[in-house]
Amino acid sequence: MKEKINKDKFKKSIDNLMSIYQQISDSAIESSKKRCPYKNARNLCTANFDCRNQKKINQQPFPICAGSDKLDYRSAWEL
Amino acid sequence: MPIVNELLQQEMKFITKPFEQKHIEGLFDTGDTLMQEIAISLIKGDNSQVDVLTKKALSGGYNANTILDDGLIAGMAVVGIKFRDNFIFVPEVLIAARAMKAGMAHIEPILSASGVEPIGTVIMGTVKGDLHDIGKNLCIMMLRGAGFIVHDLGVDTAPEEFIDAIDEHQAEVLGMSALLTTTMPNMGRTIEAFEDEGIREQVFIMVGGAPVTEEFAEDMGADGYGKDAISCVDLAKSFYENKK
Repeated sequence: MKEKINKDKFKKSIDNLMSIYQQISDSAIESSKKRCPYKNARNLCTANFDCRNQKKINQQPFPICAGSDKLDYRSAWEL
Repeated sequence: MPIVNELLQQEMKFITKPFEQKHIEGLFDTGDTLMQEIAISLIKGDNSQVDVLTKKALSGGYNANTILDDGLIAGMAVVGIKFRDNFIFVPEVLIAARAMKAGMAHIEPILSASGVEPIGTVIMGTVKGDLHDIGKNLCIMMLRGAGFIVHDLGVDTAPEEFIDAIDEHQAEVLGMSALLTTTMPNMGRTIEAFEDEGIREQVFIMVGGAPVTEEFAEDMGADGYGKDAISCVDLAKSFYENKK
């Protein structure tokens, strides 16, 4: 393989990526206090386990999340 | 107009702060259509498209640094802002991370050929009886971003599966996650299994998950506790730095 990478530039790129990820990590903590992290932007549940807030719709790959987000969603998982 | 891709232009409506609009536009100021296609495919979480386009860019003579900065990371910068401002949520971030991994798969051989080696190898999994994976998946995304090779054992992982994976991949770091108070003790059982096998000292074991505390981690004999995804990266890095 002939291509090479500029190591200094690469290090800068990784630092940049990690600062984006730091922000994502902080946002994930905040977001998980008020919304189930398995619930996507279309309010569908992406979890691979059962939850009492899931409302399954025929032929839809993901169930709808019927959680209010006002309750601690973690109790729904401890079934 | 630096942003020539129509779909990428549409993404700009999610960037509401003027200084961030300027920053994001600056990331695309070369007006390169292929880099913008990579970025929008990553934002949309289309891993197969990122795979195809990254390969195409490399074979077309693009430099790996350019692809990384102007395509993959530029796309992830948009994802980070959309997530912070609640336009997307954790599942969308994770599919963008999967797309990032697809692109990085083509960059990694170039890194290796240039003498940039991975920091180390980490085995990650959610413990036996627990099916929750989001925290673990965020950790994996960040570990990979930082330069680790990560083998994901998924959920409901038995102690012997962790042991086998450490052996198979010659990994020195193990990360275990649990989200339920009922499955949390399985972290301790896994550590005991490493002790029983006589390989406990060979592995740096870090644990995390919503109900896990530093005190609990210490009681069960873990080497480190990560309170969030980014601290998982710091722990793994500190292990390798202390080894030097």
